[in-house]
Amino acid sequence: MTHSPHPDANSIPHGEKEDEAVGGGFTRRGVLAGAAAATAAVSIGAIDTPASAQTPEEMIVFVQLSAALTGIAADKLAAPNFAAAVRNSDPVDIKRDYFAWVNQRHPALLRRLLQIARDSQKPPAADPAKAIIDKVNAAPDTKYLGRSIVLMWYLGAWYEPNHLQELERPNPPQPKFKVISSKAYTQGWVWRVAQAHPMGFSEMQFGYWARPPSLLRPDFIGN
Amino acid sequence: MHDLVPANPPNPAPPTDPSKLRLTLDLDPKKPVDAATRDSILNNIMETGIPCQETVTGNGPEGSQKTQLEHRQRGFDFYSWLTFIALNSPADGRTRIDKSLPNTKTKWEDRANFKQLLDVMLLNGEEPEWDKKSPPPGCESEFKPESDMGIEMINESYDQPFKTGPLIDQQGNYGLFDILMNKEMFDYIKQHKLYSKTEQQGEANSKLKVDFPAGENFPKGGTPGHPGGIIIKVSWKILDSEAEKRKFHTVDAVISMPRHGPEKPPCLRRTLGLVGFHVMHKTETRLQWIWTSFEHVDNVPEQQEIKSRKLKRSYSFYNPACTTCPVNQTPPRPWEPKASLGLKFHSPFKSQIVRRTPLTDDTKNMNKKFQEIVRGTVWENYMLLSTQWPSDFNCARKKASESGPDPNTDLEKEPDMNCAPAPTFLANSTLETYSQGDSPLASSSCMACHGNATSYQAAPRDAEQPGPDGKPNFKFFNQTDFTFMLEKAR
Amino acid sequence: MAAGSCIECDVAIVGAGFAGALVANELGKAGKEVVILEAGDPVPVNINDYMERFYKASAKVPESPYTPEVVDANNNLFDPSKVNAGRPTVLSLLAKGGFGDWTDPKQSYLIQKGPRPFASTYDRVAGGTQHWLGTCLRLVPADFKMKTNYPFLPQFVDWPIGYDDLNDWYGKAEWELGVSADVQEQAFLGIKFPDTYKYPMPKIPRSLVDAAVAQALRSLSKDETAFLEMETSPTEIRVRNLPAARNSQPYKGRRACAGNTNCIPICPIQAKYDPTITLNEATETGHVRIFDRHVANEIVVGENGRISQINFMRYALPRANGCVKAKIYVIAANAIETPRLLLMSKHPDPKVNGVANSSDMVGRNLMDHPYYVAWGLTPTPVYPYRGPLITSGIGDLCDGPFRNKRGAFRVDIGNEGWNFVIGGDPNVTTLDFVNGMNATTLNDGSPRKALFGRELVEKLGDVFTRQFRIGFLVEQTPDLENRVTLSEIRDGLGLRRPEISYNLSDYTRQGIVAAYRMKNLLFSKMGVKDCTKEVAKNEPSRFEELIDDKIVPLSYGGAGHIMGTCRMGSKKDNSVVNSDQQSWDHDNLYLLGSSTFPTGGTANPTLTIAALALRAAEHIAKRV
Repeated sequence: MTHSPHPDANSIPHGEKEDEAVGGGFTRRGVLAGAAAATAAVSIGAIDTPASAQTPEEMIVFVQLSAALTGIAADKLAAPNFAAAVRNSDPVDIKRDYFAWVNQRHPALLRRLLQIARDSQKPPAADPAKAIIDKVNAAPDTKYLGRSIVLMWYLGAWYEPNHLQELERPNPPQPKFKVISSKAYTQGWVWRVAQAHPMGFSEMQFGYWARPPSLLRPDFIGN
Repeated sequence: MHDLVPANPPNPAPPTDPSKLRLTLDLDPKKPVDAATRDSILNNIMETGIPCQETVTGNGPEGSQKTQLEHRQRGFDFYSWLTFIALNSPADGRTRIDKSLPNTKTKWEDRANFKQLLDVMLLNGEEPEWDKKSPPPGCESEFKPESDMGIEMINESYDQPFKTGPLIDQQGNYGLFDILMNKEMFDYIKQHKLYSKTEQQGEANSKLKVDFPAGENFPKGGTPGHPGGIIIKVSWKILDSEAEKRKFHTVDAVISMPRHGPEKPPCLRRTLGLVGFHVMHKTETRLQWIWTSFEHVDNVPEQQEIKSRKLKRSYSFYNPACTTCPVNQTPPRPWEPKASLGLKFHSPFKSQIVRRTPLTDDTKNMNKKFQEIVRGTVWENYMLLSTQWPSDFNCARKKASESGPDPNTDLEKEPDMNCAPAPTFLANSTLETYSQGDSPLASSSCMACHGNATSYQAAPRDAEQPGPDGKPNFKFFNQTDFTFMLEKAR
Repeated sequence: MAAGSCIECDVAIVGAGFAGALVANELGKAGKEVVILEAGDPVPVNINDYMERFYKASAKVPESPYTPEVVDANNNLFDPSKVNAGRPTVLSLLAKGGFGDWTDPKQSYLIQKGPRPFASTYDRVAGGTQHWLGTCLRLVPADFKMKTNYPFLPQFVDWPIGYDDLNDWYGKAEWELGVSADVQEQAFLGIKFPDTYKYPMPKIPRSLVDAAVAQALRSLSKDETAFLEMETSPTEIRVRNLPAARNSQPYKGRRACAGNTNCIPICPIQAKYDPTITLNEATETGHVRIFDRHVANEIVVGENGRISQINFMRYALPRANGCVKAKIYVIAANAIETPRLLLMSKHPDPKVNGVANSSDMVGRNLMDHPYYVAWGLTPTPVYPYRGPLITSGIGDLCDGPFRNKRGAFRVDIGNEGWNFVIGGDPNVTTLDFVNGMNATTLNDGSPRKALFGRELVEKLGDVFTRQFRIGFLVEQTPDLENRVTLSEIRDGLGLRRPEISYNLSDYTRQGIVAAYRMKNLLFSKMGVKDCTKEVAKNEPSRFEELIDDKIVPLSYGGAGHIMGTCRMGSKKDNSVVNSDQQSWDHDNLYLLGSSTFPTGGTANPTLTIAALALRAAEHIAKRV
């Protein structure tokens, strides 16, 4: 009893593999491909933010920026497959929530960071990630917003950039932060870096803790 | 009138010509479904039955604004409808579903194809036989095996999973729940004696990695395709009036009330109407199973419909006239039905249920198309809620590193053994009534919950000793491959 | 409620926690009419709201999922004088003068008179203190006879019952809650089981952290362990699986553990038992009614010293005052709220302070298990943050000749890295390395590291996988001056709040010292780099001890084990209840819960609470 269901006019002959294997690691070519795909008007889907809505290209650059700053592979940040993220295969799609969150609070500064990410990938940049980090660190405002973004990806919580600056001074106040949402808490990357899972949110099965975890690379954080 | 023609033998020879499997359905909402499309789809299902395996793609037509995820979701929703139609087609195998009557026995109601859970998990772990159906206790003289559905009322027959509560319809009747499995599931359970709690706990099963068969369209070596494991969960409404019987798929049932002590419980005869329909299907490319849920269109309103006051005149589990009734609350206790009241609830309480998560526009559109295809039968009164599927493709088809029998599902994936379920949450208003929502883990998600399912298997004695690689010997414990059925062994 | 008409029933229970729920269920199953007055919110339809509150909380303290809410939208503590049925929070155990000042009645529900803070908290909601870990240990036989066994310690008394009296009841409690453990592993220090006894479920598999500790303690020299002053100095210290009411299999329709590492404060899949399960069974009998948001505020004594009714204040709308009349009354409101209610009520003898208090023991002998923690980095990864919060511990050191001189301790092996000990990891460590801070002492270079990208991943991956923490529950002496009394400061209903006087005796502090030495032994055997932060000078729980000629600053926390304030005994002049948990003063009044424990041992009290509750239920059912 077999079937191959194809709801649209373009049906695919049976037996062809699903196209999840397309793409993989992120490369410069990936950026161009992404940009081209953007101009082909394949959208990422509905966007919630009213003011200065993101474009697909901005989302790609946001992920590249975040990948460089966090050290997590872009593929994984835009899970489950970044190359597909242009056309979005991610049911959780936390990247959209994060972009909207930062955009609401620091739209202009965010765009400077995005431009840094774009500029750092133009040839002859040998190590785009390092170039992004160096440029972000070069000025206090980009530096602290960069840190806020990293903490957001890692912890699902928001530490205001001004507050981070305050915390570095002598006699700092108690750190203050806000959990962005229950969904964001469950998507925190720090837990995967620890080869574990958010406390209170396990997607694993009984007894997993009796044996060592899977490898950090590539299973948890990508390459 | 009853359709009493015996069912065809199952498993007709599958087609070998892939081009025969291509189906198309134009989803343009402005276009009606033409007769040729209807015939092509329904004839195809008659000939080949349920899909053995899904085939979906992230590509859409040229110029589509939708995302890969949405394309795949549509593919799964299409697969779900084909599955629904195939399972609910007349059991005789010769009548097309658009010619069926409300009470025409369906393929899944035919005991040649599916078996109820309580007929597998027998008292005292007795060995079950595929062909044997015992009447529910107390119903021995009443039960007519050819035409009746027999239901034994245990807690799970009226109380939702984890004892979250019963469902009381607007006529004050209990909703009833049942679980069925196909032959491939049954064969695996029987082979490993998992129908017996004692056997589950025994030495022989301490090293068994429960891994149900997975469906394939075209297995290696040219063997015929097979569906793999399929599990169905249904919810029924007791139908009192003739008018209602025309809008639901119905079945004649004999029901034995909950047992108390050694005396035989009373036996009740009722006409039941189908209101909820879950299907779980394991395939080679989705080893975490594919999860589908359907409901009757008159069950409950969506939140949006209440806000905009676009309500129907009546619902099975909601009273549009009551604007002050608290919503989605459990009934007052006690919950167990009283034998003296039959299947009527002991207090005037009626469940006032609202669907918290609306259907997507794509799914609503898909529903309209298929409802046109089965127009003229009760099946046009059913709708798909959504399909939940593991969206991380590489994860979903990953096999375990050690060699083992097929399918050899990997139980060591981390951090997400559910392989990114899409959508994240899914709840049927009649089956997961009280855990609707979007709170991680607390709210209903087929895969997040079923991923926790375990059996009574005991860890092997040498489990804590290090293996040859120096690591503890555990590869798996008592995970049951996403089904709660094994914990019902007695 | 019409004036002059009380709710009537066979048995009235105050408190819908562990003891209250179990008693209600047993009586309901026997067909007795039961009313429970619960001060807090009802059992919810699902735990969606609890989980949302938890996920969104910045401070994921044990109280965080439950109501009443701990902090407002600005993360300030609610003023307890405005809360109807308030309760303590760990956030109000902080230094004087700042946020969470432990002496500030505007932040701390308990009016803490000191000299040291009482560091444990509880929930006040249907289901009681359901933020518990799940540990289900039996007391060891010696714990019941501290006066007989260690006669030179004047504070200790004997329980009027012994281990043998509770053996069968422990078994019943284990099956009621659903405890997973293996009998062979749990028979130590005299604990024994009936011949054919089996726990309901096999043990929870141990974690990699447990394996590392077990390995390190496998071969020791007698010199190394001499400080423990056991009967003979051990050359191996055994790590044993921790019996817990946590499913390792399907049990009574509930799922098995999936390692959410969140037992405290809440299991997202209810694999850990909590009393809402029993409350649901109880109401299902059709004979039990729960009145939530009904605060019992007075026990009224009538003729012959018998209780005639209990008055309550209902703050669920519409607000009302009312009463309940029963044949038998049970107070099961925890070891602070129970004495509070007794003290708020009038004894017929004007010389006696409070109902049931002719012995003057009500509120006295307040005990906890002062909790000593230490933490560090293991040399190779042990992969914490995985599995239940605690899967194994060390119980073999809980009794021995040393108990003539110092409190015993039980060892908790934490699976959650530094989450608990450093005030909310992984946030703290991550913040350190992203923002160049050093709250953890790990970022101690000059300048401090502030990392991005791959360097950050490497650093955090290295640190988190090696985080290790150990905890010690230390035995506390019952001291007359550690007590609950009534303050003049009131809560949102105008009722007097509990006032706490609390200190650690020398015996107890020496127990902490021994724990400190044990920690040193363990860390050196494991090769753990000790990262335990030096206790700040203004830390209210700080104290100093001379250890091996050095002044060592130590501190303690609360284990959440509140005991002793209505102790049971064999004589009415120095105890509040008899061995049946029945008040000496009032024939139809029973007190349940850990308030009746005369001594605390080192075992988590819940299983003993459950065993005593089931035993009392059988006794009460015969009288109604």
